[in-house]
Amino acid sequence: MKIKILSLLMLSLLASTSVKHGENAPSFSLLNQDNETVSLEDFKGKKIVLEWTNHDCPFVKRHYDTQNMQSIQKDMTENEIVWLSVISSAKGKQGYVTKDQAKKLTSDRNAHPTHVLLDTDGKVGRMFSAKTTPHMFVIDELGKVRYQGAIDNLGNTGALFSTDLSKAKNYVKNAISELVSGKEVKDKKTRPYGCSVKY
Amino acid sequence: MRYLGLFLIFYVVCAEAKSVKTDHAEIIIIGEKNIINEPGTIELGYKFTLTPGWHTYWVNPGDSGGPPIFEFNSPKGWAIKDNVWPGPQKIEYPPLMTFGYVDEVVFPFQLELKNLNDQETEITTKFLVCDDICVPEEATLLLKLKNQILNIEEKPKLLKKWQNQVPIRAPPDTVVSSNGSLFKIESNLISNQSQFFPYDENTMDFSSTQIFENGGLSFQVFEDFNGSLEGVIATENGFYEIKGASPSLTNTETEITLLIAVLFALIGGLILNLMPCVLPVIALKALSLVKSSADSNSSVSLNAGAYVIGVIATFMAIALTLVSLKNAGELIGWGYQLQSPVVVALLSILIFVIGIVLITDINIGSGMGKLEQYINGTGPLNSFLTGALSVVVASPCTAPFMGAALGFALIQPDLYSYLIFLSLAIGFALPYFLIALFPSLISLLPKPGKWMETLKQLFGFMMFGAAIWLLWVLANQVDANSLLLVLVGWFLASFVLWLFIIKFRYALLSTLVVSFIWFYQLGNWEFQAKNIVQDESSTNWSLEKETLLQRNGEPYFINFTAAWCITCKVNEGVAFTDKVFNEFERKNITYLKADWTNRNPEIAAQIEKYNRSGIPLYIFWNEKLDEPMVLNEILTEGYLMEVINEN
Repeated sequence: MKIKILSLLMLSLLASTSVKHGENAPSFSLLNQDNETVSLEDFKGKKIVLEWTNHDCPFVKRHYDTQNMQSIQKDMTENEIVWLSVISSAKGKQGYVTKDQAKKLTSDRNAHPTHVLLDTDGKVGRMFSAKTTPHMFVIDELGKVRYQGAIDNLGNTGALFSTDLSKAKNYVKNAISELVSGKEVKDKKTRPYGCSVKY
Repeated sequence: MRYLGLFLIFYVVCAEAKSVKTDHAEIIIIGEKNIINEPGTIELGYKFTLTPGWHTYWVNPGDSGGPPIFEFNSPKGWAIKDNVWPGPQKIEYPPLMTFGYVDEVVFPFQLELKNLNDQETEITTKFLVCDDICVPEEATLLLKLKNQILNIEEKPKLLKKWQNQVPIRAPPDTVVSSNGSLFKIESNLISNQSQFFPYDENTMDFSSTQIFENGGLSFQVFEDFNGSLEGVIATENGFYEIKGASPSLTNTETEITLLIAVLFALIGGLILNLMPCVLPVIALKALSLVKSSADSNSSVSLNAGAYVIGVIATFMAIALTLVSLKNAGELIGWGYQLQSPVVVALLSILIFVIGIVLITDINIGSGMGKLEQYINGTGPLNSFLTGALSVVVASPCTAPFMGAALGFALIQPDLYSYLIFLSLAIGFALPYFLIALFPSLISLLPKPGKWMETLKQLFGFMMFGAAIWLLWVLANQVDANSLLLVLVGWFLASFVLWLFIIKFRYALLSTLVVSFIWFYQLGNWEFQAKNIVQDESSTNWSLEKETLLQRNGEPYFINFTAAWCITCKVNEGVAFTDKVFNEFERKNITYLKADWTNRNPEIAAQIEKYNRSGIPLYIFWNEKLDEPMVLNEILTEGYLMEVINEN
């Protein structure tokens, strides 16, 4: 009995590796679309947005097809904010891309990420407990997690597909602008929506 | 008639339901019958047939996905109700966990028809259908009533199957407890296949392990979770809803009540000395102490001390027996001993015999243990045995009066149980304990004299009273033939006593022979439990009935009672007046009676769920109460009316 409870506690400790608000984001290094190593530490002193993505996921598609994602990326990167698109799809699963495919996707879709990071073994995705595509994280200049969750409030089934995305409440945009103006982020954690990450 | 048949077929064909096909799903509205004869509530369901291996989601989809959404406007004369959610299954994508339905699902809903006029409306559903990949889809269904034919597919069995999968209120035996962030749900319906599905995303890590053990399901919630646990649990009997269980309440509650229980046991033990079946035995002990006060103080101390040890040893022996029985899995409660007709029969004879001894002042031959001397005599051994005897004689009295407190003792961890029994024993022996410590106290008692003889005889009649009460308890348990055997036992006991009184030479031998024959008969004579017409009476409680009432949202009142429970009988006489029963009727409160006179594991289990193992126990429930309400043990008419009217 005691042992079972104990093991349950330990299991839950292992499982609850999800990143906590206000705490340091776990550090990682991944290869980008140009086969360069990119580390989270490289961007100390800058605000970072992490975007878990899968180009075949209908939810991600909707955000790119409407140019919604690209416009946010452009807006951010132009303002010295680092945008890292992370692909955690395993080889053979939906959303998996090679480095060349990643580059092609970026140019085809006219996207503006700072880097596209390939997390084929899913290590970093699990470190952040990335559950869906899209699943967003905002990290401040000190490397602390300031927002995690959905990109916007269109998580209800079908809402994303029947709403003008520019009219949605975009949690990532809000978090960044609150950080810029030195305010506390209002929505710190939301339930991410979309396709499951294809680990 | 034949033409009518054709006519109907014609319309059925016309109203043939049309399914809507999307890339990965086919959706259609199903029902029991498509001919609608009268206005009212029609049970329907949205049936999704998915590409094999694909799934859609429950109301809480888990780590990803989303539940189907149904959009509709009820047209004139119709009221379309929101759909309900059948219990889901786990759909694992490690490290992610989602909750939903694979291959097929029916979401039941209701359509309320105020009239049978032709009418139609469109229902749009947006849903996700997923395999490894996920596709959002949309379909618009037409629901149409024309010439009293509804354009649905007749699938009564399939609809029923999914309706049965919709969670219902958990049976009253379900207990949710927590220790920090570790929650445990217990119910005898939980198995190793069980799974808890939380409603709220902020409750727990969906993929965290759920451990089944000893009829309970344990799992960890988020450390910062401080809401109430709400969700659905899958059991062997289907899905049950868990509602409103908050973290870490149970523990503190137990600690507080343990202290109170120990205190009450002490006071209760003290009061036990005054019980009608105990008082004579104990008073006589006191009198014998008075007699012996002529001896030295140290002899008084020794006697009182031996008596105290006798009491405590007997109580602890009883506690040990009860705790081992409990640990062996027997469902027992205090008063348990009185549920055994044999025990009641023997006790009644014992008390009857004590009564005779008291009124006759017989002096039984010195060749055997003198019963009277056990009570009246002095000497440490006699005092020890008197202690034991008074506990045995007291036991029928503790049952009705101390049921609740001792019941509490039995559901505690073993150590606590012993602690409570110990304090009861100490309370019971307290007067003698004091005398043992301060022998001079004895001088405060009146001087011995003739009055002692008279008092002793008076006490004898109290014993007869107690014996008659036990017979009445027995009469509620067994049939007339078995009762006769016991009365024959009374007769034989008085007869052999008389043999002793007249100093018949073979008195001892006769006693042995008579006892042997009688006990042999007792062993052979299966005590025929009286055929209590259990389920025929509408007021007899059963868990099934209670669960049904709860499910239907109908208020009820349960009276847990037994013939041997004096408090119960007093309450029934005082509080259950016509006025109260009229009020029950007026408020549609179903009155249920759980009779525990005979052993009944279902009732015992139920009583234990309320952290009791004794009676009286009164339960009231209506829809406004999350949990059934446990009423006071002492009832009055006014209190009952108040409870009924204020809840």
